[in-house]
Amino acid sequence: MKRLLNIHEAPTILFTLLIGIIFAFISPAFLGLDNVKLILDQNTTTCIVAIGMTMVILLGGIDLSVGSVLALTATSVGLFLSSGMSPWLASLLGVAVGVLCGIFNGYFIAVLNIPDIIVTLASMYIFRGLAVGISGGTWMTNFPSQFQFFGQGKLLGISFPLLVAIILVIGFVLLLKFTRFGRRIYAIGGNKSAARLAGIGIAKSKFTVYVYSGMLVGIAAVIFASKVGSVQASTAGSNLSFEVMAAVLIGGGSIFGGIGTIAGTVVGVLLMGMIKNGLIIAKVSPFWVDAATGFLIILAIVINTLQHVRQNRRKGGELI
Amino acid sequence: MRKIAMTLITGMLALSLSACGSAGNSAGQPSAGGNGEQGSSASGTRTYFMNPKSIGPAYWAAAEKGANQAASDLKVQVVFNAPTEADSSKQINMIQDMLTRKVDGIGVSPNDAKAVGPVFKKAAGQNVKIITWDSDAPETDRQYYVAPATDQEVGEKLAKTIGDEIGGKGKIAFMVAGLGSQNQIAKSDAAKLYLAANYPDIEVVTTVASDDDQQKAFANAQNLIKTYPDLKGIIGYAGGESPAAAEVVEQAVKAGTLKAGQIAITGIAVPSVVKNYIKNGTIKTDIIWDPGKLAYTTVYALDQLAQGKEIKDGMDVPTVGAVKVSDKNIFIGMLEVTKDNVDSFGF
Amino acid sequence: MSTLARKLPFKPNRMLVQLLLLLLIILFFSFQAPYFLSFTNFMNVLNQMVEVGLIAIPMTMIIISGAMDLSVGSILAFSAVCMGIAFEGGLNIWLSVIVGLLAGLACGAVNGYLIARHRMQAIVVTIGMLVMLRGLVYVLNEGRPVSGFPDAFYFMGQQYIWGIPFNAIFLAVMFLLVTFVMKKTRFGAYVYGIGNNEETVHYSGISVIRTRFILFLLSGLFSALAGVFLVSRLASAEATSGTNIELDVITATLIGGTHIFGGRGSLSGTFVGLLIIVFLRNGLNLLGVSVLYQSVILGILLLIAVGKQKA
Repeated sequence: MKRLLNIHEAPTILFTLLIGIIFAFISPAFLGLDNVKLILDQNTTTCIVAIGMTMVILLGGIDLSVGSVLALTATSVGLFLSSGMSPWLASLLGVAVGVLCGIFNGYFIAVLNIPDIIVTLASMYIFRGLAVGISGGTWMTNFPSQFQFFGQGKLLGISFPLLVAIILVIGFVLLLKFTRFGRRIYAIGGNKSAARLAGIGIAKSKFTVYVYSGMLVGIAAVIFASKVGSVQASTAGSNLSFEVMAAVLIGGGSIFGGIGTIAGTVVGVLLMGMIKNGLIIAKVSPFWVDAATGFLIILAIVINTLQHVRQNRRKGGELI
Repeated sequence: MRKIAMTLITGMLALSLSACGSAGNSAGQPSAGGNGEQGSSASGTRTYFMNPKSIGPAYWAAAEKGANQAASDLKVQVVFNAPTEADSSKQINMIQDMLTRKVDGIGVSPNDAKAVGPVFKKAAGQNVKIITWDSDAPETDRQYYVAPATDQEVGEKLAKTIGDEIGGKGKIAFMVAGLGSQNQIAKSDAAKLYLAANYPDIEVVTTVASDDDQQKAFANAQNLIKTYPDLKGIIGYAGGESPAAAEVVEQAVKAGTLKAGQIAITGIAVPSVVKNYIKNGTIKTDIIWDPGKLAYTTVYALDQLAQGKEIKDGMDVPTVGAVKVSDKNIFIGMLEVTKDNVDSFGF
Repeated sequence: MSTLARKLPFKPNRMLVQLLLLLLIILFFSFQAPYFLSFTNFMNVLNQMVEVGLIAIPMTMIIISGAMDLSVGSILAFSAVCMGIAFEGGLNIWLSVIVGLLAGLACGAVNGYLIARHRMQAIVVTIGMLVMLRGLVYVLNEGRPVSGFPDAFYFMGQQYIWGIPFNAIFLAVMFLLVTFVMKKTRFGAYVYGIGNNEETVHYSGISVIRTRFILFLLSGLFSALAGVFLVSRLASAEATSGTNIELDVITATLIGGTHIFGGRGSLSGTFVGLLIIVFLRNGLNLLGVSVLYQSVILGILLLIAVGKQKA
């Protein structure tokens, strides 16, 4: 039991369970199978983006541009589709656009060595402008019915986007745990100069992480476009970066890098998703939804930090 | 030294870029003189600033087309611009900037009816014609308000549509883009009153807001259906709400969790966006007006005012037709979009 | 202490670069945009930059100290609406202003308490506050704007003294005041010190917690001030005001040469950065450039102008 409590994510998990139980008490429908499915389904895009963000934050970076990349990718997919391309090809090209955005970020951050936050703040503006520019201000909508598979289709009885998210989560968990690439990320985020002395190519790892992140956002964008059915370039994903960052940090990540896991992030995403769904299911007044969400985020952080403090009292390390 | 050279290059780059960006928009603009000395009604083309709530939504893109058409028909200059988000302080900054440019008239769709008061006063002081369109700012110096109909009429129309569709009985929910946006509040309040008066058996269970975010609207609709299994209808008060609701209902029907036709949806939405949903019957009736014509009428009315002409009831606006003018309001009328006419709209 | 003070990073070189950029922008628009180069337009621009400018002051200090505050926009709206409600409740307008400022201070205190005292990550706490306060604004007022303030109050945001907007004068005075504090007082040295090496400051017997707490208090206070001035300028307190203002503020601070990882930066730089942004926007507006290109241009400018900062 004691060992369980010492798991890094333990407080977040407990808090998530607690919130779940409270919502279940307020409205029994909350724990119904189809509502659970709904929550999972609603958060697949956030979850996929959050995988990339976890790696970025592990490196001690921050990516403000994910929302704009999502908008740009989703808009391009819409354009490809409306030019009569097959859904698979359009989606693949869409992911490629995401990768290109990742390369753009990665080039400036890793190769030119400019701080992450500056590059992604800039590319947030640039990609958003491009997205609305190429969309011509109109919505991307009326997608062909085959395209709906990516957001609404079912494979082996599980919804396709959920399956994609699960595969990606497992894939990246393994990647971070068992490959040299993954351990490098932790090493760089934990102590950059030590990593450099150990002969780790920091630039290369950073670049790779941003490319992965771009790819993941690309995948999320395809699912987003297919699921929501219409894309408005100027607002799609506008609050995504803060939301995803909050999820990663609630999940135990540290903004200073080196600490955090994808599993924790997934819990963070689920917690945020549960709060949003639960508040509406509990028929909370619409005016209170945002206030309550923010309050619960802060509460999650408080609980999370208490755990850190407890652990760090032993280590005596610096947190800030 | 290197830094300075770097900056020079930087500046050049950024500015040449901005020059490229502007080339398309400001071509043929009277560029004589770098100072603001010329009078506003000097000879040459008249310039009007058309300011929607934000740039990006399909609705405003359609309006821009109408405004540009009016510009070429009337041989005037129209600058169509707004911030990327519906933010009233940024909108007002932009109006102030355009007043500096000595435009002859401004057509504004205010994000906040009260906040545009001071800047309208300033504009009126400079003899700039002021018309609000799509959203009104009463109690300011605006001269006319161009709208499809009053917010009350639109709200009542929506309420009546849903009331008839669900047979006057059951739970319905409202979906809005912003809990704070006045024109949506006015419409939904009117709808609530109308329902209470004419369909006492209809209960409005809640109002959810999407903050203009498609994914949030989508999730909102999903949660609504989940929370109120006996929900009978949804009214969307902004362009993105009813398509999101329709998409959710369609997916639920496909997944078998909802019977087809159990939830009636109506709302304000651009026909091109909801075309598919109307064709397959998820949305039966949708209320809209042509935003292009709205913008066209606004530019036309501004031009009339700038030329010192009067605006009369029943006045014939080219490509729009006769408009109803009453008490400083210009109404162009609403349209009902149904399966039969959905293909006939060009926006 | 004196060693810390001596390290104050005023680099004339960097300033020169920024001023040059500003000059270039002004020159370019003077030639390209009719009406740009006029007294009224410049005063107009100054009038518009006040809210972002006021928030940029504490933001610069916070970034120098190595943290960040993303909740400023929501604090702005929260205090503006608190003020509006107090006024609607029959309070005297100036008392209502004080209510608004107190609301801002309270938000800053919550931020500061969690971040300084409990060493929580500034970014997460302030994201949480961003969401929560924006939500509370809607709770307080159901999203309906408050207006109808007395004319005396509009003085702050709309009145011009000798042709110069009052709020711009106020902003300039604030900048000078805080620059003085940052340069000449121990507090300023602590802020730079914390940004450079928190542990050293801590072991020098200086309360890092207190310094940090004060910084976030200031951030709350200035955001509230910005809210008051915004309401006075727009004559209306609305729930959406200040949305995304934090990005503008951070952009101005970064273009002004403040180092994102703390320890380096100056308020004078931020002021120039602010001017660069507002003049760029104003000029592009006057040219009728669509906002879509404007954001692309701003992004590229940010990338090139600040790209010299090394990670």
